[in-house]
Amino acid sequence: MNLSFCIVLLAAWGAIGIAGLARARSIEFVGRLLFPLGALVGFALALCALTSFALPPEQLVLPIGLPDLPFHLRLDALSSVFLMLLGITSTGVSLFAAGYFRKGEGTPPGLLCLQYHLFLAGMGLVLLADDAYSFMVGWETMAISSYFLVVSQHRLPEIRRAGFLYFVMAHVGALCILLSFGVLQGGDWQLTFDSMRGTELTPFTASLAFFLALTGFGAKAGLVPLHVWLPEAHPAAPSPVSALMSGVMLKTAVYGVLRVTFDLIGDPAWWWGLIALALGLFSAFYGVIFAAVQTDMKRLLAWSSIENIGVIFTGFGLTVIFQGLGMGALAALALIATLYHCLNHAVMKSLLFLGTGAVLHATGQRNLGRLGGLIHRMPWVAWLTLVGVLAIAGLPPLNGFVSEWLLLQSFLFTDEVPRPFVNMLLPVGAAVVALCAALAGYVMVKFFGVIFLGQPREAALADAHDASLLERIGLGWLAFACIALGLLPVQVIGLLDATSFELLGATLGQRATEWWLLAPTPTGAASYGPFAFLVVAALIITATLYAVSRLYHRRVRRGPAWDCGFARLDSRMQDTAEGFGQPIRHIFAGFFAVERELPVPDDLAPRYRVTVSDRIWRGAYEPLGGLVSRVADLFAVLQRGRIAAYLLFSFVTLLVLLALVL
Amino acid sequence: MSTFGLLAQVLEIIAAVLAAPLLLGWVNQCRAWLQNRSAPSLLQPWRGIRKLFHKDAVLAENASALFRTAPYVVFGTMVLAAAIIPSMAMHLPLSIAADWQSPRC
Repeated sequence: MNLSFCIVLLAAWGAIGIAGLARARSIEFVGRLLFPLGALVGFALALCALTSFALPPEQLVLPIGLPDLPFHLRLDALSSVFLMLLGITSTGVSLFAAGYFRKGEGTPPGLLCLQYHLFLAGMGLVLLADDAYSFMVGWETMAISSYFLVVSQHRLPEIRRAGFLYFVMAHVGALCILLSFGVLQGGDWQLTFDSMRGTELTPFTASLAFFLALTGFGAKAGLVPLHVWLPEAHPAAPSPVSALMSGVMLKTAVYGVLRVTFDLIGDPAWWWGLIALALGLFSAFYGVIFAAVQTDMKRLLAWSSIENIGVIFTGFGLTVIFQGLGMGALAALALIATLYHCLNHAVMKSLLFLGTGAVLHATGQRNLGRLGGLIHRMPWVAWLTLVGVLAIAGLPPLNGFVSEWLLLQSFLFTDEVPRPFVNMLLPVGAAVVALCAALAGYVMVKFFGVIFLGQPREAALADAHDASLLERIGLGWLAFACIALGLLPVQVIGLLDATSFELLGATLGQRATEWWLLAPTPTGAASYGPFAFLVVAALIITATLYAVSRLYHRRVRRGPAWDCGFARLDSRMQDTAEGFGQPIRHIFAGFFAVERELPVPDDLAPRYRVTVSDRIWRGAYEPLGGLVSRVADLFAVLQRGRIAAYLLFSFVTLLVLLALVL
Repeated sequence: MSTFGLLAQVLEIIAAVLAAPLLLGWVNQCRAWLQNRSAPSLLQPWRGIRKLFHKDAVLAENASALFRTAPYVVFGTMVLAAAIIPSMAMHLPLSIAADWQSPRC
């Protein structure tokens, strides 16, 4: 029942997209009618997923697709988590997009509407697919529609370049996933997931399938060293699209990894987890230090996404280690931390990307060096973004804290791992996660402070306008989701327990009876009550306000900022994005490829320029790209542009094949 | 949550708030003694607070509402932290909010 409903909703997204073509140039029709409708569909999808956690898995065969290859679909607890994530996030993003897309954005709005809704429906299909064929159809729909969305401003060469890089990486990833399914199907070419679940794998083939899947899905998720497309593609795309890509699309890759590892392979080897853990930790660290030195606000968020994907893969790695060693309850703890972080990151990163979108529309600037002081001009955007900033920095009582806390809790039990060597290394992992969480806070202080606080760095910022009503509703919805996920961890974990039971056969359970108290660990010593935090902090703050108002005469003067006697204080004297990131650039200098241009002493117009680039890009991708183009040049000899030559090639090929066959 | 627990909780919060400036005063005393100066009174920080309450607040022209709210939030969270950590009594009602020791253990 729920599954059919989900399919109808995905079809509705497709229909909304096609309806956009009817009046492709009308902003009113597309923006005021179709996008809000899409948001409504997203909301219905979230509700539908919410109610299907408790139900047994449902399967359905749709008679579409190729002959003898119908679409097998299945809705189970794992799909439900990610469908809920897709629904919640897309509701907010679609509402925002309704007010966001305007004239002069490159692609006409009707076409954008088609690509956008196909993107959503593609992601939905990926989550519902129960055979490799429909999975890959959904996966490619998602990849291609998002490619077109990324290059919606295709007149700019750097955007075309970013789109191309994204396209190449998406397809390298898709190839690995396809190969992984090929290994998993076990010889009878029944590509349904049901037959893959039943296949007996040798340790070698299981490992091969796992690592192919990890590479393929890792390329989509942005796991270092396959992350290079992410900081290019996210800034290139329009903000609602960046929000969806970062918030939801990266999570479909996490879904894929979880599906392959725990459902299709079934019994993972523990040492796979060690590798996933190491990659995750490195991504988290690499992402956060690069985020700290960025000066473009969307690029900063893209690097922060890499960090969060790293945290998610760290949790995944721990889950595999615990599950592989037969420690079910701890595996459930780590898995729930992973899934929770997926949900959290989806809502908070979408919120932040939409916030940058509103800023970009109001000011036309993405460069942090030309923003500042926007809290006065755009109070709605500023305060709603602040919720996202606090959440992603991991502060209670918001949602980011819950999942990071759960992850660190699961690290605390690694001393029970019966492998001494692993046992010794894992605390280092906990330290790295803690470091990344702290640095993420630093990055977010920079992000919020430089954009919204201080003095405007450009005169034009005085004309910035606040977001429109629909945009505010979209931002407000996501901020509300951040708060709700932070305040109701017990209820959310109650849902995720169903997923954990389905994948691992173990649940976290709830050791405390109160609805507001989270006590997830087996010993019961750890607890967290966000409501207690919030209520008591609110009480104390109210009491303080009351005390101050009674004790204080309440005279407040406004005056010029204290300038220490230097009479010409201007916006150039504020801390800049470069300046704020400088300590990080200095401390972790070995990880960056830094180029500086320093002015000479007698320069009358001195310029100081620092470019920070990615060593992995320089060291691995540029040589690889060069190699590919050299090989392609060798083959170009064949391409003469003369039909006679091509006919000859076909003829020779035919002869060779005949000779082989006969 | 017993009456005694609630009482201990409230007392602990009040004690923490009242004693916090004294700690600063004591540190200042020690610092002065180490530098062979005569020390200010232990109550000097409290006197400072009293003096500040009689002064006008001056805000910069471009200070936002965040600038007004942040001090209250910081103060509130500090007091909350003091309320959770058992310093005067164990098994406080609020300690359950963060890493409570289960009665079973």
